[in-house]
Amino acid sequence: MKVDVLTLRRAGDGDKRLSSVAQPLLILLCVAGAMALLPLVLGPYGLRVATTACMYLALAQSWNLIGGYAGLVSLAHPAFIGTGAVAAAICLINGLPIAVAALVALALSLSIALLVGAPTLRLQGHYFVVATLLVSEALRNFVLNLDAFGFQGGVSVNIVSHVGVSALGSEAYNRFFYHLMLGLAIAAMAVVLAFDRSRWGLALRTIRDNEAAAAALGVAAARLKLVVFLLSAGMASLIGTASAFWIGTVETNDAYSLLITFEVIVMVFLGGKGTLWGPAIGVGFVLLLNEVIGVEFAEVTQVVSGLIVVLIVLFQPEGLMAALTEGPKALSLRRLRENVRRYRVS
Amino acid sequence: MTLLATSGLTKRFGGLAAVNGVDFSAEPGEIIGLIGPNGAGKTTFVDLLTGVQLPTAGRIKFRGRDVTQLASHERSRLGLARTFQIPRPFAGVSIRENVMLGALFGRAGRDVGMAEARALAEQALQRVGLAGQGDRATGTLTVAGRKRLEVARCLAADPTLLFFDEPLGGLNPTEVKEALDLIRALNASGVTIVFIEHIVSAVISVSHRIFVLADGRKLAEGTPQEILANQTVQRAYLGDVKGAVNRSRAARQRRAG
Repeated sequence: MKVDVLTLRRAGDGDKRLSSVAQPLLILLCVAGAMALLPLVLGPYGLRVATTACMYLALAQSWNLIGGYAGLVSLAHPAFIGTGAVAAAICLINGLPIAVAALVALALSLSIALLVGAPTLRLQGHYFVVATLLVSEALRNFVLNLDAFGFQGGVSVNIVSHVGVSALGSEAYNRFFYHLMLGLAIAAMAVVLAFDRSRWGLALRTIRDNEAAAAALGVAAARLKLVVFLLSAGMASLIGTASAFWIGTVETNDAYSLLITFEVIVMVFLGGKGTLWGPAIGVGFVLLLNEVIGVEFAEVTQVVSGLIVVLIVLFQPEGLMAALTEGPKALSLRRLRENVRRYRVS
Repeated sequence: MTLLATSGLTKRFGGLAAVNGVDFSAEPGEIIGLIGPNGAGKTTFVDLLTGVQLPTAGRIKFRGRDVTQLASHERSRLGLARTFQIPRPFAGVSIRENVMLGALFGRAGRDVGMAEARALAEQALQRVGLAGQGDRATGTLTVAGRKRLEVARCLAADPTLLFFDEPLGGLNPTEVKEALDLIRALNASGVTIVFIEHIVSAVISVSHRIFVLADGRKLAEGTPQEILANQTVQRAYLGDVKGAVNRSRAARQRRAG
């Protein structure tokens, strides 16, 4: 064990580890600080776009945990986003305070995640995808037919008067929700950062590659996957609650919308799944694309942005993050040919 | 004290008993060769011992403790480690991180921090002859390198008993010799070893004791000399020379194809 002590004491080793967390954390805090000042320069429209971007970033990172790091393409996210919105709305219209509403919704989402995760996380690949999709759709239909606590599933609920900050002027209201979403986004980034550099992040990545081999080396794979699923669900629920408060109305089909989750998945894959900065790049890229194309060619936005996404994924399936670290050759024609060969279904 | 003991260990898949009432024991410090014709149930047997599969019947005791129903990761923390027949490197992380996993999660008792895991991984890589390659991707390793990586991962978990599932398969003669040297060196450092292998000369040269499985049952057990002289074993396993040659040729073609 002498070597052990020697190696541990070698100068710089400990520092290197520290900087591997400290450096990204510092960047994160600087970006957060700068972004916190954005309302000073942005108009109402700009602030709305920025709030949306923060919401998507928080969602992307919450999905990145389960979909990127654990490699489990979960379509249960709408169930948690939707429950976060609907359960909080029901609490509000029944006179509960805003914080209690968020916590009740969170508890409910976590219970659903526990019930759903325990059986489905044993499933492999496509079976897991389909099972989680069914959970989301089943829950949406259940809520659509729910008629209780003054809530009628299909009818949209106006909660803006119940949200504590409704007395604020529109500018202060917008600023409040921008800072709330920014806080959620930064918190989500911090959670992923903590995971990325820890033993648990390493364990998740190895489970993704080979669960049996990871278990043989002492990783409690089933439990770790469940914990990550719960964490991801809890984050999604809080974001769902926050966005319901921000928009001020809750409509079941929108709250449980698969479309938002699909957009989020595209962002994560495009930027780089299972990485810290990839989802941020993906969110920025897609929203920017929509803004740019949306203004000039409003009627073909979806088609064009879809095409661009397909092209990028063809050239670089690991996402834009890989292109940034590898340089221009990551987007070369040669790489396209390699990828086509590697991913061809035969 | 006996390190590992099974009694009546059985695994059925529907009507087929892949492992059928096997009594097996390993004493501390032994190297045990586990041999038997293809389909004898060797890998299933090791799967049962390491918790990759749970037995239909029978008991497993490790260091006096009943581990029959323990999950794979719990047995690993008690000091059982294994390699897989087809190496399973974690392709998404570096070679060093592959090994760090064993140090972080496979050790009994106290928690190992990231810095210490890094140091332990470096030591383990050195022991298997992969020193200085920690930063590389696993995809750059040869078959022999991947097998070494599997061993390093196990070593980082500081095992008492190490199972090798065909450690020599796919290796060239030089690599076979190096692998056998590694097995002997690990054993000399105090690790008890059980290994499945088809290269009979290698099994005989390195094992203290040989355990023969056929059709899921124990066929024979003894020193290498006793096993070589055993008529039943010769008939079941070594006797059918022509068949064995055909089988190994078919296996080579499968691997090549």
